[in-house]
Amino acid sequence: MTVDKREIYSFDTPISVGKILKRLNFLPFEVLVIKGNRLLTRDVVLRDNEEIEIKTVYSKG
Amino acid sequence: MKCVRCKKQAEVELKSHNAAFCRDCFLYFFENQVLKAIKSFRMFTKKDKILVAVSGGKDSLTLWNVLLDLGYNADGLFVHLGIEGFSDIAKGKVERFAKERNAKLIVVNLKDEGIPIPEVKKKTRRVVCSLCGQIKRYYFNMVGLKEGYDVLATGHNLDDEVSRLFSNVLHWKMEYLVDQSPVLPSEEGLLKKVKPLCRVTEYETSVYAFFKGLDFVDIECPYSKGATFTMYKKHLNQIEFSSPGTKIDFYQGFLKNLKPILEKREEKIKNRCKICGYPTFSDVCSVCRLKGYT
Ligand SMILES: [Zn+2]
Ligand SMILES: [Zn+2]
Repeated sequence: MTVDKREIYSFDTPISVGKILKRLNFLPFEVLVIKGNRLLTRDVVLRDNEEIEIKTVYSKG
Repeated sequence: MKCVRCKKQAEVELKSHNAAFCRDCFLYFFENQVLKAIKSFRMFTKKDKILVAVSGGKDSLTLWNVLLDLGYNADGLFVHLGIEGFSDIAKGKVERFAKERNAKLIVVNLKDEGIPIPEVKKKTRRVVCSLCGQIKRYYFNMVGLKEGYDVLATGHNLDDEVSRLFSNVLHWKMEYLVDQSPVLPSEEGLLKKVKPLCRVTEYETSVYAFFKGLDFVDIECPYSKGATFTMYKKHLNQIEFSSPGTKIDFYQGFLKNLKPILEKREEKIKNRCKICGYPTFSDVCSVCRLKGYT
C-alpha cells in the first residue's frame, strides 16, 4: 500500500500561489491549494510565515 | 480574484468556463453541470430508482452526495474486493457516508461469491485490474437488475472520459469507441448505465468533495500499477492549460459528430451466458468461468 508522501518546501515571501505552483511544476487545476478550510486561487499572495497545503487531485481508487 | 456571480472573494478559478467562483456559487455551478448532464442525456428522473456504484473514492462519493442533495432516489452498491488493508477501509468510509446521509447501501462480498480478487489474481496471468473491473461491472449489473433498479450510475468524470476517448482514438479502438457514452441504454440482461459527472473535471470533483467535507479513500489499491490513463491525463492537462476548454470540446464534439456515425455500424452482442444470462461473446461469461463453470 502506498501512503501519501508529504514533502515540505519553503519559499521567500511575498510570493503568489501561481508562482509556487509553477516552481513545483503543477498546473493550477492539478492541485487544491488549501489554507485552513479555504481554497486559494493563483493570484493570492502569501506573506511572512504563511503556510499552505497542496494536494493533487488525481483519483487513486 | 472575485466570484463572477456574486463578487465575493473567489476560491476556485475555472478557465474552461471563463469563470471564478466563491464556495456557494461553485457548488451551485457544480450541481448545475450535473443536472445538465442528467437532463440533456435523459439519464433518469426523480421517479427512477438509481443504483450508484460506490468504491469509497472521491468520484463515487461525490456522485452519491450530489444525487441525494438534488433529491434523487439513489442507493449505493459497494463491492468488497477482499483486498487486505484496502477493502475494509473503503467499506468503512462508504458505510459511514450511508449512515450519515441515511441512505441505503448494498454490499456484495466477493469472498462470499468465491472470487475474492487475491484469489482471482493467483488464477490469472492477465493484469488483475481489468478482470477486477469486469467483476465489479458484472455485480453492479446483476444486483441492479435483481433488486429492481432502473439505472446504474457511475462516478466517471470528464477527465476519465476524455482520457479514455483520447486513448481509444490514438489506437483506433473502434469497438470501445462505439461503447463510449454517458448513457448506455438498457437491453436484455443489461441495466441502463449513466455517468452524471461526465461534464465535470477531476479538479472540479475534488473541489466539490473538499467543500462538502467528504471523507473518501485516499490510498491506492495495492494491486494497481499506476492508473492506465494517468499519462494521457497529464498530456491532456497540458493542452487544456494552453487552450482552456479543449477537453470538454473534444468530448462533446465526439458525442455530437462521430458517435452517431459509429452507432450505425454497431453490432450488438446477442449471446447470453448459459449460467447467469449476462451478455457474452462465448457460451459462459468470464465471471461464471472464474467461478469454475465451463
Ligand atoms: Zn459567488
Ligand atoms: Zn455467467
